[in-house]
Amino acid sequence: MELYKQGAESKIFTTTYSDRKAIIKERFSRQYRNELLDLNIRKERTKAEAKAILKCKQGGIATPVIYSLDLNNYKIIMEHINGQTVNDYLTNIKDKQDDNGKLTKLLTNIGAIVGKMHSLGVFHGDLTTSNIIKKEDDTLVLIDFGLSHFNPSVEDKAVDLYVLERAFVSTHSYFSQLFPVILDGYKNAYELDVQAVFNQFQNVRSRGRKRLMIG
Amino acid sequence: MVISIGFEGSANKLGIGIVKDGEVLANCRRTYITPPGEGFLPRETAKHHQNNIILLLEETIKTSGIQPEQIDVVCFTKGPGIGSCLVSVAAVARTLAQLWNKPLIPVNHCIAHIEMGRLITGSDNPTVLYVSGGNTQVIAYSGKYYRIFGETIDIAVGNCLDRFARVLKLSNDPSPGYNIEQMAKNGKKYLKLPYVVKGMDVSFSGILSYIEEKAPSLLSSGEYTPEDLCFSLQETIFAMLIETTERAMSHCQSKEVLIVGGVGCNERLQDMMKIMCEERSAILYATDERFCIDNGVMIAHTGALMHNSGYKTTWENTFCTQRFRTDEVEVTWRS
Repeated sequence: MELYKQGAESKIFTTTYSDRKAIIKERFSRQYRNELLDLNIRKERTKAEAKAILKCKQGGIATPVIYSLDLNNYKIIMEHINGQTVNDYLTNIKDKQDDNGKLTKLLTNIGAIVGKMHSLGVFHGDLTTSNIIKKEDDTLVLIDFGLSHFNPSVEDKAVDLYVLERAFVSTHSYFSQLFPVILDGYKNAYELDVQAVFNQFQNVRSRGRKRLMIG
Repeated sequence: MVISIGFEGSANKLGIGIVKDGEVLANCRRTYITPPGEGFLPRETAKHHQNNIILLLEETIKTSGIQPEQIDVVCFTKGPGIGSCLVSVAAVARTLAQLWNKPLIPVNHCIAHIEMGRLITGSDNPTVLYVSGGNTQVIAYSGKYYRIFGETIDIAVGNCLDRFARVLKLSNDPSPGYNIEQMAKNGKKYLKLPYVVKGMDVSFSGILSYIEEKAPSLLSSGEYTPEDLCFSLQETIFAMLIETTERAMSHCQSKEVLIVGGVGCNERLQDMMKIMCEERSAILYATDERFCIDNGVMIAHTGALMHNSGYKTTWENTFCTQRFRTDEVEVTWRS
């Protein structure tokens, strides 16, 4: 067992599970947090993650296969996905302007899986480009469902899009004008009233502190 | 060599500072303090600034040991902040710039906090947690702009603490947040509060309403002490801040954190951040109340950086604005 990555709330170890390459995602105790708060957060998020991964998979969205769930130790053993995060991918191709068609396709697909996820009634809660893995065959795999919940309101869906936009524009400022391509992909995949989501998205964007004021 | 004077008065602190190439020559400040249970209002705060600014200017010049002729550039806070306070201070800066015939530089308050933190701590490219009474932002630098990764979607963290201090009728001297911090040190029993993280963003208004509503009965029944409530509030909202900061670090693969802003001098927040940093082999940079809390030096220093990078503006553009986003300013002085 070897430490593969340390995210904001969990450690990822690589291992094998019945001869298959697997990872262990452990929501480890955060020493900076109050103990009661810490236990509560770790338990809720581990539970939420397992439930959302399953629900997405049943709906036809690629997510890691869960091999084993250990709620007492806040651990999930799941499939190891071969590929790179969309965050890394976009950073690597930033200086290559030649495959624009490929990029547009990728961004459309990102929008499409988010639209599909929302149609299934799953809210992700931390939708950044680091939480989407692109496999060699261009399949996109959604991960990190710790902040997710079911039956999202229009507001929740708009917040997902907003978090994605912010992560996209802040990290990949060189592609920032391409975010509408993601929205196009979303529009085609989302089965309910897409205009309602887009209207709320505009509201979230221009809410409170983000609002520009003239005068 | 550039000697720069900076005027800050966007909230209840009035500060004037003088720097010479990053070396602090004077850092003087006056704070408008209201009675316990009350916050500061725009009109009275502006009046405080107007009444004190000339005396404070004399004190600053005297402390610095330089003559007004030696000053190369006059800087002031353009925004964000309270309108009447910004305008009161800007009027003085504008007058001096004309009197001394020096260039006038309008500075973004949030960016000034970041640049001051970088100067004092020597950190190079940190993920920044900017926490104060008016702002709560997680910021990272990318492509000539300070980008906001996450922020509060309603009130600022300091505002949440200050308003809870009013519920407990804590003193506003030296600041309500400082008194909450001292109380929290003796708190033991944790009250479960809402924990509101939305992706990279945080929200405090719901937590405040919750604790404001519960506090009277919890205190009168003796179930919790005021110290317990201060402790619980701090533990919850600071955990939210550390978590979002860590998310941004993880996303940007950053190994440095800088805490700036008035709430940044809270030692419990610094401790929590330090533990988080140790757990991921990152380095924490923090400063003390001289530079965390609003001051004139940060405005002077940032104005000097802008001036050195060739920034010039017209008189028409030396206005103030209450809303002035961190990511609106092109950072011409960093590569």
